[in-house]
Amino acid sequence: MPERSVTTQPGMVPAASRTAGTMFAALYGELVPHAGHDPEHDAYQLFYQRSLAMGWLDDSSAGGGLEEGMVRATGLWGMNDAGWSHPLAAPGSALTSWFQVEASAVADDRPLPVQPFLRCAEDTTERVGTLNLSTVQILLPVQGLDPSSRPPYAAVPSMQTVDWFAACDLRSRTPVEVGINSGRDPSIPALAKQLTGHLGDLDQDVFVCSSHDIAGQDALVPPPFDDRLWNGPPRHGVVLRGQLAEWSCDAVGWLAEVVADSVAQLGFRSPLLFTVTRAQSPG
Amino acid sequence: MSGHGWWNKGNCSNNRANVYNCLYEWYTDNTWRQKACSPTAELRPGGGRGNRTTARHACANTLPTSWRNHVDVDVIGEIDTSEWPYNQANVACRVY
Repeated sequence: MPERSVTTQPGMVPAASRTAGTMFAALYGELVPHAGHDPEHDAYQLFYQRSLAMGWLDDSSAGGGLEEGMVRATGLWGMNDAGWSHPLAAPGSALTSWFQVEASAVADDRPLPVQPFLRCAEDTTERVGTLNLSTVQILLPVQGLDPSSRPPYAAVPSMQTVDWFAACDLRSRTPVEVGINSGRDPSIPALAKQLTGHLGDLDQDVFVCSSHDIAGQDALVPPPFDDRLWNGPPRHGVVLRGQLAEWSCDAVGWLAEVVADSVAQLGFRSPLLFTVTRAQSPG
Repeated sequence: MSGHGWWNKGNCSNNRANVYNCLYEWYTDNTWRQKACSPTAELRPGGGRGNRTTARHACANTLPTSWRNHVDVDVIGEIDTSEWPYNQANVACRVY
């Protein structure tokens, strides 16, 4: 076994730009592929190109090219990986696609970019087939949020865009279950009452919570990534039940952004597993 | 820990390139040390399925560490330019 130098170790470049952390999305449901889809155009390629086209791909860490010194695009995330299937997906979980990025540092008056992230994820998936979405699961890098840096006009930045959902048809309201899990950290069950109170105090009806329960591992679709990527496995969580303004990745993303900021305000500072499942409508 | 390599055609004439990518870990003596390389593969442009290379290395632990993923592209039958592009990221993965 080689000896390690006492003074020289792997580490972080001192001047490296700060990032928020790993953000992961898994979409579940039924995907009926379009006829004639060329499998060469896979989730990785399509998500990368969609992110680039929308101007959301962060290229500021690139270097080494003939264009050294050029102005690079700052963006919302850097690409990690993506796919249709995943070796860690639970058997029978109906995973249709997954996407992993490194979220860029979050601006003081902006949310984690969950809505644009899910926009690219959904666009990518629907590019190859017709998607009937049943569950959206997201790993939120809450540790990348600093509530003390939020200006008063954007204490919960996503509240600045709440009226986008005010235009939803009332008939679009959809019953959902929202799983919020802190993994091995027992914080989230302890914060459940404060969290639901906080959501209720916000001037929003994108998500109206009707009840909540403490929930553990059995209440969740097991996430298709290694426990070491966060604080897994998902042992400690809550499930909120209520109505979402519409069953869309936009509404799920908005709610994820609000929950991330809310738990950060309550002192939570770790990756959070956030899972929204469309509940069966009564009758 | 993994990184991918692929190429876009740009203004090249040919449609095939030999591509590989390597992962480099930053050390506190301000050096970047190679930890893994993909095999070289002859790829079409675009980065789609079957047209990417992958370099991988198992993580020893999840301490935050700076990594670079360098991609080397040799377009078949064309004179190479000298760039050696990379992307850099801080990742919760450390290798010794």
